[in-house]
Amino acid sequence: MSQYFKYTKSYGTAMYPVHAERTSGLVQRVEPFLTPEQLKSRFLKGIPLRFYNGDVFTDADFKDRIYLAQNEAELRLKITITRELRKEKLAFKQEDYKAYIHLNAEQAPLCTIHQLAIVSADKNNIFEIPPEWIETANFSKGIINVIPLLAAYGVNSVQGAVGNAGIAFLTVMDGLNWVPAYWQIQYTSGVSNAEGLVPTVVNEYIGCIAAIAILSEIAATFIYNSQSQTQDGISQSSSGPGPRIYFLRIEELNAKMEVLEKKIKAIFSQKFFVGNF
Amino acid sequence: MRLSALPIINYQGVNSFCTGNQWTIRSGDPNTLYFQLIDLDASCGGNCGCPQRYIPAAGSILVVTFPSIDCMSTIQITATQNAMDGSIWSIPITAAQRPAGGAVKFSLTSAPNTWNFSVINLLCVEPINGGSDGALADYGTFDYNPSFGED
Repeated sequence: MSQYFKYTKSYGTAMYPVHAERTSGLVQRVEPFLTPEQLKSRFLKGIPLRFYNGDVFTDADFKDRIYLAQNEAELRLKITITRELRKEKLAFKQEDYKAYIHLNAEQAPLCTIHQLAIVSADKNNIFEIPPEWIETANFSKGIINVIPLLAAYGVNSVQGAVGNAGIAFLTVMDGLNWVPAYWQIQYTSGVSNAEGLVPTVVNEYIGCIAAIAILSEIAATFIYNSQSQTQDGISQSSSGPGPRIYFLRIEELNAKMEVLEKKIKAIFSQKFFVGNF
Repeated sequence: MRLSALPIINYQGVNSFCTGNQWTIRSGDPNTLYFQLIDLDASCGGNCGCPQRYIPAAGSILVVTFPSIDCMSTIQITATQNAMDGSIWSIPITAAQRPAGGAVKFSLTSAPNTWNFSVINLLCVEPINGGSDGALADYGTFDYNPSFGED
């Protein structure tokens, strides 16, 4: 079934680098989803990817681990990797209402918005905010504002609004503090406007998750630190780091992943600092 | 029977090709993409345990869909069955067609039945200018049209 929207409103810049209007192309910052070959060459080169019993990771296994890592990355970063359509109902808060209807979407960053309306519990569209009033500048952090200054400065009517009689609700709400599930928004969210492409740093993050999972699977079965053989008075012994060979890499990847996680969250979400002054 | 598709790379003929992890193409380049239908529930009989190829009945129709959140960007192409090996199919991608990388969907109709399946991360599309992911058009209409299996 098809769902048709009357408008699409975006900020008109790239998702990544955030707010980039035009790029030279001299430096690449987005790329296709991580491939098994890239996973091996970027994160696992030189590391024996073989289990003690002879089992090996196949390319199909790598592909599967990437798929798992993509899903884990979405949860950990609280972002959507590919652009997806969402519908939410957000609460009415008086302080947010007075701050130009400052709404925080559940998922960031927002690529486009297709509806911002007051919708009743029985799913009736009471009043639809005209798209002209929707401020899109903070979509990269999941923030939607409504700035109706456009109409105040000389535009007498706005196009696209339905149920204009419902505008009375906007003024009635001035006396209320909080109404749950008041604003209905429909939007697309994702870290890339272009489907099939992701920011390189997000791919790196996904690769870290996948590589850690692969290495920890092997390390758990790596049982020998040293081996010795003796036969007829001749002996040979060898010792190595054992599973430490994997743990060192896992630790490094973990540290890198934590740094990337903080940086990516800083780009695509809001940070709050609380203190006493 | 659970069908799937193996991407074929470097196709020379039915006796000379190799299967890969995924197709990799450059955005805007014309291409012909080959793939082999396999039955995940049927083993080839050897020790490897790999799935057996699947040859649909003559006259079957196979539609390949490159999905998108925007129905205007969804691409559907009817595949052509190889005359020498019925398990091998191909689809042409023109320069004007810009599929997005990721999962690819298949719909095989072999009357009276239809088999639908999806292969994850089957297509990788390298961007021409990877400087950014570009901007989206403003104030256009948006028609979200989920393809099969999504609603």
